[in-house]
Parts: sequence; C-alpha cells; structure tokens
Amino acid sequence: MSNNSGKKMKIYQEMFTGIINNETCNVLNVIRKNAWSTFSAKGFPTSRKKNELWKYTNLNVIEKKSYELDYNAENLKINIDENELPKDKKWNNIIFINGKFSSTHSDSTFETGINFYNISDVRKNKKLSEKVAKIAKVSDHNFVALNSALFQDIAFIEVSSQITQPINVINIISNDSKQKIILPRIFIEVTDNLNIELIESYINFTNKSQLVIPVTEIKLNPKSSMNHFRIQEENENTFHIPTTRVSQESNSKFSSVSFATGASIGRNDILAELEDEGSESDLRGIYITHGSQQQDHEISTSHKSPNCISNQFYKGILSGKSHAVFSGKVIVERNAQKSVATQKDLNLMLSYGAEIDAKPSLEIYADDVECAHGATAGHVDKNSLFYLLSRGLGEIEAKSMLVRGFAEEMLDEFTHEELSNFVGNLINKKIPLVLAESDTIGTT
Amino acid sequence: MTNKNTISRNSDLSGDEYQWGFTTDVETELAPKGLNTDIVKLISSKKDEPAWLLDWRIKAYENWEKLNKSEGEPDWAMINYPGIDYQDIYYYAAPKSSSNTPKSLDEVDPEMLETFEKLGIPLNEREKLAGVAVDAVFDSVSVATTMEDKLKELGIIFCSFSEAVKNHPDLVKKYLGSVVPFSDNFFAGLNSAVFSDGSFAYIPPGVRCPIELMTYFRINTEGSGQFERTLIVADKGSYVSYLEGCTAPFRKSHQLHAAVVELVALEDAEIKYSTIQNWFPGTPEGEGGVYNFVTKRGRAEKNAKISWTQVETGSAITWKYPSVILKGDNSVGEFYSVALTNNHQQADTGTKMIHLGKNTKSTIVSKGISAGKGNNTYRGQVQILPGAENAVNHTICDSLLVGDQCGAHTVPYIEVRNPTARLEHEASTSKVSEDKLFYLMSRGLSEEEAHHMIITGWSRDVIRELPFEFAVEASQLLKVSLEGAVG
Repeated sequence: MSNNSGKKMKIYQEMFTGIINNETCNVLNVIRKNAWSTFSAKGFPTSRKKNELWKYTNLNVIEKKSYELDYNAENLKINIDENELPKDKKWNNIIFINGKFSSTHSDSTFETGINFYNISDVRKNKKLSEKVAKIAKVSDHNFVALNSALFQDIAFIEVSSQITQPINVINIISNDSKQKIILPRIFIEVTDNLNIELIESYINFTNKSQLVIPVTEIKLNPKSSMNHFRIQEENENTFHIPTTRVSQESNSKFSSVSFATGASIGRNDILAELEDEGSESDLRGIYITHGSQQQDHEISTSHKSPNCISNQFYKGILSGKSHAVFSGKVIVERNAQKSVATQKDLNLMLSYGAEIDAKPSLEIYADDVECAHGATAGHVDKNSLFYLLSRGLGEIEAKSMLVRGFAEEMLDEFTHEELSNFVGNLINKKIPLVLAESDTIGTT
Repeated sequence: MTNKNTISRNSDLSGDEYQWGFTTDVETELAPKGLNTDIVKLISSKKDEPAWLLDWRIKAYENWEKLNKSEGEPDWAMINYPGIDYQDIYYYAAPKSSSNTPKSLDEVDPEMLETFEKLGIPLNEREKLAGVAVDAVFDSVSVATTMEDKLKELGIIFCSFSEAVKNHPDLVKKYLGSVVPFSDNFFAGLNSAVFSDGSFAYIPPGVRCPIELMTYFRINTEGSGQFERTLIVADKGSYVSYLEGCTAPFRKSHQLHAAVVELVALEDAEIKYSTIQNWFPGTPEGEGGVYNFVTKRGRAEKNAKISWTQVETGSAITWKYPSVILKGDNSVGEFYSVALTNNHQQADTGTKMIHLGKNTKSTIVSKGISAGKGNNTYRGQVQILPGAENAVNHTICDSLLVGDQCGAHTVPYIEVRNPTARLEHEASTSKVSEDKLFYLMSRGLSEEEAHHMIITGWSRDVIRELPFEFAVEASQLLKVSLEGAVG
C-alpha cells in the first residue's frame, strides 16, 4: 500500500470508528467489523495487472480526493423541485437524502403489503438484521465491504401481499459545499407469488464531487417477480460505484433496466444468482457518455440450477473522450442443464478519443445448454445517415434522430409512462451534449 | 505399416491411445538440470554463437529471473496445474551425433531416421513427391533439412535456426525479437534465454515459395523442456506457406514446451502458417502430458497478410495466442482455430489482433470442442488503436460440448479506440444437436461416427484453410482424439 493510500485508509478508519462506536445492534456490529477487516485489508481496487474486475478502470483519482461522512443528516428537509425527481403521487415514494431516510420527503403511508423499515427498526429486530449482508457478500468485494462497514441507514422492505404501485426509492444528494461519501443501502424481499416493481434512482443537486457507494440486495422467493428500474444521473464530478446482488428462488423472474448518464466514473455491478429451477433473469440497460465520463457495466448471471433462462442486453452511446466498459459474464454450473443464455452489447461510438472495452464472456460447465453472445462497436450507419441527409435534414438533426432511435429500444423498457417520460427527457437533454462532441465520420 | 507419408500413416490409426508415444534410443547430450547464467552461456557456446546473441540471451535471462521473482508465471488463464520447478528441467538436450552436423541424410543417425519413419515425416528423397520441405527439430536441435538445394535456387533460405545464426547473422540479428521481444511475457522470456534451435525461413522479394515449408518438432528426452524458436521473414511481395507439426513420447511426468514463433511479413507479402499440434495429451487419467506454453506473433506491414491456422488436439495444457500486429495500412490478419480437449486436457487459446494501420482487416474463426473432463477456453483480444481508421474485425467463436463433465468458456476482449472501426463479435455454445445425431444414426452410422461427422462439418470453416495434406490429417486427428468421449 502506498503512503498516500495509507493516509486515506486512516480517514476511512476514523469513519469506521465513529460508526462502530455508535452501533447498538449486535448483529450489525459483527457485520460491520467483518466488513471493515475486509476493506482495510483490500483497500480500493487497483487497475494493476491481474485485477481482471478493474482492468479498464482506474480509481486512483478517487483515492486522491477527500470525502467526509455526514453524521448530522437526520431527516433533512431541503428545497427540491419535485419535477426533477422520477416521482408520481400514486407510487410508494421512499426518499433518502445524503444516505439517510427522510420521513419529511417520503410518503407518510405506503400501500398495504409493503413493510418498510429503516435502520433504527432493523437494529431492534434480529429477524431483520440477520438478513443484511447475506446476499451481497462482504468477503469478495471491496465496495460491498466498505458500504457494509459504514452504511448509515437502510431501506429494508418486505413485500408480503400483492401491491399495485411501484416502490420508488430515490437517493438524493443535497446541495451543500461538502464532498461527501454516501452509502445507500436497500434490502428487499418479495414473498412467493407476488409481482412488484422497484424504482431505484440516484440524483444530486450539487456540483461537488461525491463518492456514492450503494449496495442493493434483492431476494425473490418462489414464483415472485420484480421489474427493476435504475436511474443514475448524478453530476459529472461524482463517483458512483454500486453493487446489486439478486438471489432468485424457483420460477422467479427478475427484469432490470438501467439508465446511466451521470457521474465521472459510474459503474453498474449486478450479479443475478439463479439459485433454483425455472428462474429467469433479464438484465438490460443503456449508457450515454460524453466529455471524460466513464461508465462501467459489470454484469454477471450465474445459472446454478437447471431450466433457467437469462439475458443480458446493453447499449452504449459515446462521444468526446469518454470511456465505456462492458464486462458481461454468464456462468452455467455443471448441474444447470437446459440453460438458455444470451448476451449482447452494442455500442455507438461518435468521436475520436472515445474508448470502448467490451468483454462478453461465457463460462460453461454443463453440456445441454444454448448460449450465444455478441458485441458490436461502430459509428452511426453511413447509409442511414445518407438517407436522412438526402431528404434535407442537417447533419446534427439527422444524427440526433439516429442516436435517439438507437436509444429508443431501451427507453421502451421503462414501462411506466411517468418513468419513460422522465428518462426520455434525460436522453433528450443529453443528446445535444453528445452530438456537440461528436466527429463527422464517413458521411461523404 | 506402409511407408507413405503422414496422411496414410495417420489414417491407419486405430484405438484410443496416443499413437506417437514411442521413445527413441539415441544417445543424448544433456546439460545439467536447472537454469542459471552458466547454462545460458553453455547453450550459447555449444552453438558457437556470436557475442551479440549471447548478450541477448543473458539480458533475456536476467529479465525472466526478475519476472520469476516478482510475479511468477502468468495466472490469468483458465488453466490449473501445479507450479513448475524451473530448476528441475534439462534446458539442453541434444542428440549426441549432432555435434557433427550432418551434411546429408546419409550422415543422420539411422536410429533417428527410424524415428522419423515412425513419425511419418516425409524426410527422405522419395517423399519429396509430397512436395514438402521438412526441418525436423528433435529435442530442440534441428536434425535435417530437406529440399534445401531446390529452395536455394530461388534464393529462399530454409534452415535450422543455428545455421541461420552462422550463415545469415545479419538477417537474424535484424529480425530476432522484433515481433516478440524477450520482455514480452514469462514464457517468451524463458525461451529467449535458453532456446536451443528451431527453424528459420527467409523468402526474397517477389518470390512465391513453390512448396510448403514444414517443421516437425519432437520432445524425446524425459525431463527435458523444449524451447525452439521459429523466425520467418517474407520480404516484399513474397509468399510462403509454412506447416508445423509436433509430437512427444508417452511419459508419466509433464514436459514443458515453451516456443516462440515470430513472423515478419513485409510490404505486400503473405505468410500462411498452419499448425497441427499433437503433443502427448497425458493419459486418460490425467497423468503426464506436455505443457504447451507458446508465444506466436506476426507483424504485417503495408498490404501484407498473415494467416494463422491451427488444429490443437494434443498437450495436457495449451496456452497459446497466435497474434497479428496489423502495422501497415491495408494489412490483413486471420486466425482459424480448432481446439479440442478430451479427458483431463485444458486449453486456453485464442488470438490477438492489434489494429494499428488504416483499413486493416482481421477475421477470427475459433471452434472449441470440449469432451471428457476437458476445459476449453477461447481467449481473444481485438484492439483497434486510435490510428486504425476504418479497421474491420469479424469474430466468430463457437464451442461444442460433448458430455456433461467438460467446460467451454469464451473470454473475448474488444478494445476500440477509433470511431470509424466496425467490429462484430458473435459466439455460441451448445452441444451436438440430438436431431442431427438421430438423423445420421437412423441412416446406420454409429453414435461415434455420427459425432465425428457432425464435428468435422462443424469445424469445416477452419479445416478448409489448411493445406490439403494437413486437412486430411486434421480430420483424422479429431476423430482419434475424440475416441472414448462418446457413448
């Protein structure tokens, strides 16, 4: 460990001391101590050789900055323009500000069937606290460890009967002058046979660099299903490094679609574990980057039982000097016969200086499987562009149409009208930025 | 057994055991086990090498030792093996009679000739009809080169590496390490320090080599490593097709093979490099077998083309990534591979296509077959660097699983730094279709025959890239290697 990172470690050590000294729950106490010993041993991952997970991502820049933990963010009330949030009155809105639950901004009641607990409830109830950090394992992940050691609050949700509206968890970072480390945490368990929707969004109202390290644990019991929507539109100085872990029982179905447009370095790290027969996982997303942004997608699906189906489908639009990484992995274990898995990553690269690293990998130990994957990278199609130009459209207009068309397929996955409008607006806002930094390529 | 050529010899094969497992009782000269500067110096002095080459070896050794202490062997591949004790290997094993290099076939140790008879190498006069010039490397030392005279007329140089060092030092000095520097990786570094021989070919400008050049490699001595080095330079506008085959005796201990192949295709030149790798794969129980850790790379200058075709059926472990650096504008790189693992074999193989020049094109077709308890990984990298305007890559890598105890893995790395690139990668993994098997078996084929037919058909895109003689051999090899995997 270098001198510099040794010093930084001291800062995190101080945060940990502050947290552990006030941890009254024995179960969480043990989790935090284990997590800290993992993180203090591992530190931040390096992109040095041999670290396959961080091969293309250099986090030194994070280590060079100082972040502080906000100990005083109890139930903050801030001025927010509600229109800037992906929100609908009908939904079950749960709002966290700076990593802590805000009862002021959240709905006062939720639909019957939603049992919501925050950290003080979890501390009091061993049945709840014992479920924390079981699906997202501390031992093998630097950032799950860091979050587990330091998280200040949690959205602990059990869905016990059928609900009609989505559960909407919004993580807001307020507008103040501090560089903060925020550790959002969600645990959600869905009872057998229920179908629910979860929206998870990360939005900030500051231009300061923030270090956001969320952990989301999802447990789907037999025959339950979840549509998961994830929106990340933080400022372009922020580092957003989340981990999502999904444990799926028999015949459960998990569909997730993510939209990533913000952050300096943003990541989306999902592992869906198909524990039991007949489960399905469908992971999708779109990323749009410009300037010097980097978006990583670390997407893994693990087939652990027979007759499971999985899909990974991601699309990227890049311009400026931005960088995207897609690292998809499908693992089919020996007994997972009759598995069907597909994997796809398509990239639109609009400028010189942009960089795409795609690694769609398959690891297969069962013979009766059908697995296929594909990846492409290229500029907007010359012929399509020519067609539009020949009909009198300007170059920017034509490109804008093609880029929007490329994104449209993923936008359609945001099946709620309010949500797809919200994401659609974000895309519309981003496209001019992206095109302003694009190069003219092969139009003649 | 009739004495024809490789093809018929191989088609005579039956039974499911390794057919090339004989050893030859030739007096061998061994340097002491272990690796140190003295051994490197000894190898160099045995070969009467010039000072610059010794210097190069020493530098390579020092670099390797540093690497060995700091990082050790590369561990990113999906292969498992107990650590190799690099001090427990003979780094120099030469048939004794070769200290007086034979001038013609008559002078070659008769027992060795018999070995090549057994191998089915068309080494003697009569088999020139096969149209193949062979440089046979026996325990790292080149034994005999055929058809040298005929090639000489065209100005083509085809000889052992040691002879090239003696007779064409300028060419060797200019190109040695120019594609694979000794600092490239652990095994290339090891090879650079201790390589004992290999093949060298130079095709002069504008010459189309009229016959296929061929090298046959064999490890004979127990406990010895084989470290040969091949360097092929195709000068401007020339063409050469080069074949390489390899076998090793049946041994219960593992043998290390760490070779380096460097190809240089200058402007408008074309090199076609075909390999049939059939090193001893180990027993069905997983004992013994060759550790095949090989670095192969070519550099293609303007308008040049380099094409790698490989059929990998042997070795306990295969670790190799024949690559092309597409340096010149309009250069072309191709990689066609069939890799088969059965029993306890492991293969982690693929290619790298590094696009530097404008309008460069690369094609990758990889077919992996896993059977028994074998693990087969395709690992490939396609890199489009910022200057590679309008580069195109198309990759297909398919895997076939035979039996439920094997593994098939695909790990492509796609790195694009230029927006004008067009890059497509597709891959699939599946087992042999029940319908196809049923169809063939209902027409009277046994299950094994049906499998063989389907697998040969499935591999056709690669096999058809091989020179005709090799294609037949490859198909037979697939059949033999798969025996016992079905039914």
